[in-house]
Amino acid sequence: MASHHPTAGAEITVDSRKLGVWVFLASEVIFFAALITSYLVLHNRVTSGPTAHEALTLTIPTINTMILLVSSVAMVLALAHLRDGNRRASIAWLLTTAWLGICFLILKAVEYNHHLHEGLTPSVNVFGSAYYTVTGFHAAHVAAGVIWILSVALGLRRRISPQNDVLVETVGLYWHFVDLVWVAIFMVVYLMR
Amino acid sequence: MEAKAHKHPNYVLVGIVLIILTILEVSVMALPVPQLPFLLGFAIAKGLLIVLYFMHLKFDSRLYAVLFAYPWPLALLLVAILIWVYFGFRA
Repeated sequence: MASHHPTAGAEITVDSRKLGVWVFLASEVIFFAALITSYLVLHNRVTSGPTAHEALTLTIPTINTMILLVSSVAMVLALAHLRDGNRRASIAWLLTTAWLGICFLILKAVEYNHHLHEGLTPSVNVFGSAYYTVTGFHAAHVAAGVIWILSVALGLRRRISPQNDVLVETVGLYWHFVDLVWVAIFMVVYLMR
Repeated sequence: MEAKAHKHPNYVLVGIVLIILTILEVSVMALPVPQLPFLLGFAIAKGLLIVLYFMHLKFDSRLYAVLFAYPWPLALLLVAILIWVYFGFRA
């Protein structure tokens, strides 16, 4: 599936699937930049209801940051093992990554539940709307990533193919990007509150 | 297929550095210093480690790096314009 584009005196070899994922991630940069900037300019315009400083705590988001960072290590180890020809270890690391993603989502649900009981709903004020929009879209990306990782792990169990590493690499790129976005969200939403 | 010749970097070490940076990031909140420069510095360092080592931009084709780099100036412009418009209207 690799496409070759000869240029003057040089040849650039790229995989079209990887290229597609990178283009998609480039568009996601703009998407999340818009969301995070909207949060930045809106979260201080609270006239009633809880503010960011009152409603947000650091415990669960810090644990979630650690979980996503460890999951990124697990994901990159899955690719490394696959390239070394160890398919079983690769599948085990993929499943570990998916499990850590699920842990992230469970803790996110616990955090949302706590917020809702404290009166921070998406409609309570502009901070609530902005907060749930930014973190909700990120959580949706994590959920999509978990499903994608599980489908790749399942596919890896069924077949042996030299193209397997591209499948793992593309889902890995997406997963690391989700981690990258969380690094920004953790700083802007939780640490700069 | 693309280049497979490079040896794997020490991914676990990169992960440990990322976790240490996160601990420092959270610890800085308790210090009586201007926090924004530290927070930005730690976040940029973490982002670079993820992009260069986990996403393999340090080792992969330059084309991917260019593709991924091009929206960042646009994103920063978007951030600057939105903040300027918001604070402009408030002033």
